[in-house]
Amino acid sequence: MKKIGLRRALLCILLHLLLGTAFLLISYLFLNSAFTISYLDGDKVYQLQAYANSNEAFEDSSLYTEIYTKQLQDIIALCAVRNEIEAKGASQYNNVNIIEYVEDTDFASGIDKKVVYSVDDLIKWGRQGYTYTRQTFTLDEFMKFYDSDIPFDMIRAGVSDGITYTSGSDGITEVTVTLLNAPFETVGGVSDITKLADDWLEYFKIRDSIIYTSERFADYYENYKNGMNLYGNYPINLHYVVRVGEGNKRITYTNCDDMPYDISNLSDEELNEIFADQKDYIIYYPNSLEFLTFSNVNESDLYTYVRLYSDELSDHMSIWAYVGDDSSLSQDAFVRSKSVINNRKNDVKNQSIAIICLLIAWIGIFVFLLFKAGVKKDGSVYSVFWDSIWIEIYLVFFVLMLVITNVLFTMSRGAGSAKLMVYGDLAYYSLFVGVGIIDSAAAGMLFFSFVRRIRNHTFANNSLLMNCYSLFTRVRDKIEQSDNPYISGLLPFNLFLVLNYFLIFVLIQNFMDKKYVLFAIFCIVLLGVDIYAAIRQFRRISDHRNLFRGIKRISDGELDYKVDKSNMLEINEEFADAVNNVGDGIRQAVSNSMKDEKMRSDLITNVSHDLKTPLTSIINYVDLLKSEKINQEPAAGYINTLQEKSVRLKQLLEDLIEASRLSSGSIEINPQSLGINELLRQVVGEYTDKLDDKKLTVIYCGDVSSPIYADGRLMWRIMDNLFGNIIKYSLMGTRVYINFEEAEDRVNVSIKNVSAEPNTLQGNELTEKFIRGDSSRSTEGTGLGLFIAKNLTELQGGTFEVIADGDLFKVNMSYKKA
Amino acid sequence: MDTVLVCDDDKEIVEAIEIYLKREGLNVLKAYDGAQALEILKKEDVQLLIIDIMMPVMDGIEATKKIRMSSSLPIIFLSAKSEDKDKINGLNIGADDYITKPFNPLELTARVKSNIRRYTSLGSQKDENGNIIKIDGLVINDDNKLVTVDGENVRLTPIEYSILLFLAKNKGMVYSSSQLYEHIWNEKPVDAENTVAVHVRHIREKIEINPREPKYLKVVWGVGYKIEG
Repeated sequence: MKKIGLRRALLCILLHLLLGTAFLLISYLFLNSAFTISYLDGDKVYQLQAYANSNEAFEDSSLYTEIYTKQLQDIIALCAVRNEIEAKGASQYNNVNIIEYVEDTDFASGIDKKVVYSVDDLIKWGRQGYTYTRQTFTLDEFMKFYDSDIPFDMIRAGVSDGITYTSGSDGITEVTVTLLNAPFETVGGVSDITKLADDWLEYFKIRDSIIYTSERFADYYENYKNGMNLYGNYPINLHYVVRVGEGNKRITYTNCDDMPYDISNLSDEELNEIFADQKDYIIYYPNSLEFLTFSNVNESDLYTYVRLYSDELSDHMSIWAYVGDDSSLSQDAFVRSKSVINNRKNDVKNQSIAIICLLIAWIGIFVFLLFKAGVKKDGSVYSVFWDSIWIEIYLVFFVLMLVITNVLFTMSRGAGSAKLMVYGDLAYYSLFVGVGIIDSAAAGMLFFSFVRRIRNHTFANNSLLMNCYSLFTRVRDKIEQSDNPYISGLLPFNLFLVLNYFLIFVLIQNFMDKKYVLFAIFCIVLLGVDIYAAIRQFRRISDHRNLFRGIKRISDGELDYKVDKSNMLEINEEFADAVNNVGDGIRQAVSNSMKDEKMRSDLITNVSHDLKTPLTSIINYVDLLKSEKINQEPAAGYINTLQEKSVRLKQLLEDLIEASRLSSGSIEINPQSLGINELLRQVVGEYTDKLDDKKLTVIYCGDVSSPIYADGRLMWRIMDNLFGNIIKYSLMGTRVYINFEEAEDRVNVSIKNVSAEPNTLQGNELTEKFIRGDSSRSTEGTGLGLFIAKNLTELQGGTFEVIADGDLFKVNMSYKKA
Repeated sequence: MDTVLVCDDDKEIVEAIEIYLKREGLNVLKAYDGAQALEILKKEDVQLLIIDIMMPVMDGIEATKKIRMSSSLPIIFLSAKSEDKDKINGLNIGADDYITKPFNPLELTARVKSNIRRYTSLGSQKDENGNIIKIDGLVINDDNKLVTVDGENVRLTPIEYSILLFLAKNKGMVYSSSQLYEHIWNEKPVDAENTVAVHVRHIREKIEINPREPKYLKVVWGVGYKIEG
């Protein structure tokens, strides 16, 4: 086990190092994934991924075209500036009439003052900025500063930024003017700008024009400087000729100094011929819509720049250009791009293979560890102490690491890597390796722990969500199982209602606010809540139906029926247990009472049997004694009494056994179709001799043809008992009436006789155990006879009623028809 | 002289039975449990066994089972158990008769004699001819209109004889009073049940040892009468 643990730990470390290494290689790819080319409007960063993956030649690539286009645009801009500074300024006039630069001619018309500064001064002025002097005049001084008037309205309107005024009770009192300080003199030697103007309006016009023009020239200068840096000083592969102006004022700008021709002396047509032979040439006459090229450069990209600099360039500007193929020019944008991309292609190819190998190895080991997680060599499961921490923490950590990794990768693409690199090589590479190792560790912790938990069945215990769920179920069960109906009944219902209203309200709110994502989320939540409630309600009702069926079956006598509670809600399980226990309880009680009855009956039977053995001897020896022919009185009388009583004892015992068997319900019934007429005549037949002895006459009344449904043997025992009583208790020489009567589904039989002794008991009392007519106690008979007859009748679904009306003794019976 | 083995754990009962049987001229051997009875049976020549069911050491049921493995000796159970299932059980095990305690001495001796007669006369009976009907111990000879039960002559009136013969010829069949009346009297039955019932009662009193528990002529209550096949 120790060994395996060690091996697993080492494998884990290897796993994390693999991903760390993969990240290291990726970071290296990121690091050299961009390069920069400087243009007039700043540096432009190019992502290498876009170009390094394709197999097309550099000259056919969009990068090549872009560089070409941007360089041409720069050259248009540069020539425009050169035209301003070199041609208009330094080379020919050297001075600038700033008024020419003011476009708003409406107000400036009529100003013929030559406000002329040298180009140098203007550039310096524009670059160093402007200072002002605020000078306050009285209204009078202000008005009289120039000879010409200025309307009050204009003062009030604040002709330009330069005028403010204060007013007293009698109108305007003072006027303050912001005057531009002039560090340079005009070409004419005037330094005070107010002297250049004839009135205040003109002053402001001139002042603003000077600022506008000098700022512009400062900009020109910046572009000129940068442009000459990029395209003037170093030899580059882009060769160009730009011509501006027409006739003998046509000026040529070019970097084709190494050409064997004197470019500036060639005519346009000669230039056309020369350039048309060159690689990827461009010949462009914007004015005459002529655009010839062998490259992919788009005319409109160039025209945009021509338009932009139309003021500086004249209408007759034209361009010739081509790209040379001197690969020794290491600073050249084309040469540099080409070599970077080619190197990159190799790097990507080699490292991609390495990275993919590392990732495959990582996945392989990861899957292997995943399968082995939580299982010992002998197949038993184990867990680690950190498996008891909520798994959601690992999940959040894992997701966080994914986000961090994603941010890091996004940041590192292109120039990002270079920016990160400023913290040093070590920091840069460690960052990637670290993130890789932590990613691997986060994935491992999450998934290995997950598998271990599943195998150990501890997933539910150590999960925040599952804990919340179990808390929810506990609270829910507490509420549902509360004995207080306000809590168990009303509270859940109201909670459901409130939650539903709330969610619907939020839904509508979100819909109105057009927050459709939130709307969809709340829709799902609402649906979830409602479906959950519906399912619970459905299960509750279905459980109740099951419980009801169970109770019904138990109450119908199926005492060992058990309600299946396996699919029931927790609250109903308790209910089901109670129902099942009711069945058990009743069964227990019934079986107990049956057992008691059985025991009592068995006791009586056994005692009777035990009594029979000595009784046998008594009867036998009394009989033997009698056969000794003892005629001496009173001994003979005693012997007779003994015999009589012993026989009665025997009868008593047999009746007792019969009665106890009846009350314990252990009598079998085999009912069949019987003729009641036949039966009673058979019985009377049996008793003929005894009836004759007592001089009793049997009278039959009525006749019934329908058979009854009863057990013949039991019927005999009933009638045997009844006739036994008749013989014993009837008054000598009377009549016995047997009445038959047919009812709808029954046959009624009644037997009447006249009692010999007066009887004071109610009829029903006669059928109770051991109760007989008071005075008949002295005569033979056990009193159990009627009880047995009644019970046997009722066992067969009949009725048995004894009526004692004075001396008339009547038994009414009814039996089911067959 | 026939020998009867009486086996009961109650000595007084055994002695009483001995007295009754000796009066009838039978030789009596006594045993007080099943094992003793088996011992005696091995040594002595016994024609009938009266045995109690509930006894110490070996009960009557077990003893009977053992005896029945090797002998067809008539066995009468003598038991305090009077329920039908006990009787049926006893007879199924192999007993020939079943008498409940307390017993009528006359009934006991009658049954003993009847069983011995049947046992000893077995095989010595003459071949039956068409006019002799034999049901167990009941023999009806239609030639001389003689009826014997276990060899004893029974005196029957002509009507009683006709009824018995009719039922014996159709043994196993149940006939109601009116059917019997029609067959015997050849008249439409008027108050037939009463008449027939009285006659049947009388026949039973003559041919049965205990008319309340008839062996031959049985009452099917509410249906009619039959002779068991």
